[in-house]
Amino acid sequence: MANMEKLSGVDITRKRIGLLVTPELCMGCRGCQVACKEWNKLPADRTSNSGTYENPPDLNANTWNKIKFIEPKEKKGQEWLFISQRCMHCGDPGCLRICPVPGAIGKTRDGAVVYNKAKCIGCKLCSVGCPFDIPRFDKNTKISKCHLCFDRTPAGLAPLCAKTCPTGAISYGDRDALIAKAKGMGYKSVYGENSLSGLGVLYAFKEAPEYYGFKGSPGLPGGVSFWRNFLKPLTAIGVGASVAGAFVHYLSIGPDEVTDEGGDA
Amino acid sequence: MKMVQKTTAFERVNHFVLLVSFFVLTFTGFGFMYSALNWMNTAFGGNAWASVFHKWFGVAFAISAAISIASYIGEALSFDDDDKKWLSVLGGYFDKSLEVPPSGKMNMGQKLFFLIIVVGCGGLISLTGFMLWLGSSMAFAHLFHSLTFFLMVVALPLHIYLATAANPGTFRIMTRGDVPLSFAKKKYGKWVKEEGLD
Ligand code: HEM
Ligand code: SF4
Ligand code: SF4
Repeated sequence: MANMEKLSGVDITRKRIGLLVTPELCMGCRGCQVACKEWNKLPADRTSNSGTYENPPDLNANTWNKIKFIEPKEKKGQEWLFISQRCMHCGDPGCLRICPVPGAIGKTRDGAVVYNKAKCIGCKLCSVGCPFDIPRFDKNTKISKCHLCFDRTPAGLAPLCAKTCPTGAISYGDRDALIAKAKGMGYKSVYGENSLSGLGVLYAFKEAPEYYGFKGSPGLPGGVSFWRNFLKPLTAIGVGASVAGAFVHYLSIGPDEVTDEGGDA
Repeated sequence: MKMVQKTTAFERVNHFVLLVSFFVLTFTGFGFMYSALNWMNTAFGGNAWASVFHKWFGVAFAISAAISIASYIGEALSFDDDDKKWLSVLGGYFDKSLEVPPSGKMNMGQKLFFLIIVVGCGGLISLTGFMLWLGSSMAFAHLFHSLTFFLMVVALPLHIYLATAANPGTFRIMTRGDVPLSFAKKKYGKWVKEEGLD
């Protein structure tokens, strides 16, 4: 956890790193899935054939990065879309906002959203805070997800998924440079450039995000942003006001004394 | 001084369980909600233990609240014209010159506190607490657990104040259970009459 400098802030980011995912370049080899498991010592999943090459069917505690297969039927014929799915390393991470344990989820100085299983209490609230349904839980119900290889990047090494990708569908680097690169490749907008204070994992989409099964404009879940922006400050103010109100009442109007005779004192 | 008994030992023990469990839940709750207050969870042995305490004291709270609801719901749901008048003068708490109509075993303020905070919030906070524990509809549960928490922690200082400093002598109802007849006549006049206590 050497790079987890300060764990609850989001303003300490020095220079953000990120990944750029370009689905058009992906050929669905899933080398990144395997490489991720290898580096993070995650066992393979036992699954069964469900009529698609997509495998496993969903992210899980041992699969932090997976290629989602979308097979839309187009007029011109069959299309296949391959999209890398994983934690987005949000600039304003809902998981970190809602987590009740300081230091269980944190942000590195270069913007990776990382976690410490030793501190996690397994409450699963991070899955409520996450706009992308990312956190999964191991058999001790501790959070598991992509951590942007924060045990590699400080040493100048690329995350294993990006290093393994043979086509450049996942590329790693300075976040600003990745955005410039995508725009240079002709993508007009980069998914994640501005939402949630900027995502660390950016997508160069040819079509609308919905075509790839992504939310058009991602944001914190409504209840979570209400809770964070409204309810949390209101609760603190409310308790203070309530205690202060009782004191002021005592000092001004005063108590209702009852004398032995039953009349007012 | 003639004393009259207002609560049974069972009621007082149950109220004490409610009180202790509420405080354990409130402290660990604040410790989890605000990172600036997380140090409070250290007193419970760290966050993992605080979570265990929060869950099991939640069970105690839910049982105790259910007993409390069963004990007082009948009284709390019987309103009469005096109760309406009590509300219109706000129990005389803000203007001592006002005429306060007599109350039964509970005054209108106590009925409302009981119905809103114990029945409404106590019920909802327990339900959503168990939902968070078991992992069902967690987004809904988290929002409503926090919302009811807000209402309860705002109401509780007022409840404590009204039961102690604001109405000297009242606290004894929850410690020994008996109060001077003169006190009971003034605060719970109709109850004294109905029970023929004087
Ligand atoms: C330090 C904390 C507390 C103190 C000093 C306190 C004190 C009292 C007292 C003196 C009464 C008797 C009032 C009467 O009969 O005229 C009472 C009643 C009651 N209390 Fe508390 N209480 C505390 C915490 C709580 C908590 C946490 C709850 C539940 C959320 C609660 C729920 C009730 C209920 C349901 C009654 C009966 C209805 C009523 O008279 O309002 N109390 N309390
Ligand atoms: S499961 Fe762990 S990481 Fe997720 S919110 Fe709870 S304590 Fe935080
Ligand atoms: S995608 Fe979800 S898990 Fe990843 S940083 Fe954002 S909120 Fe947290």
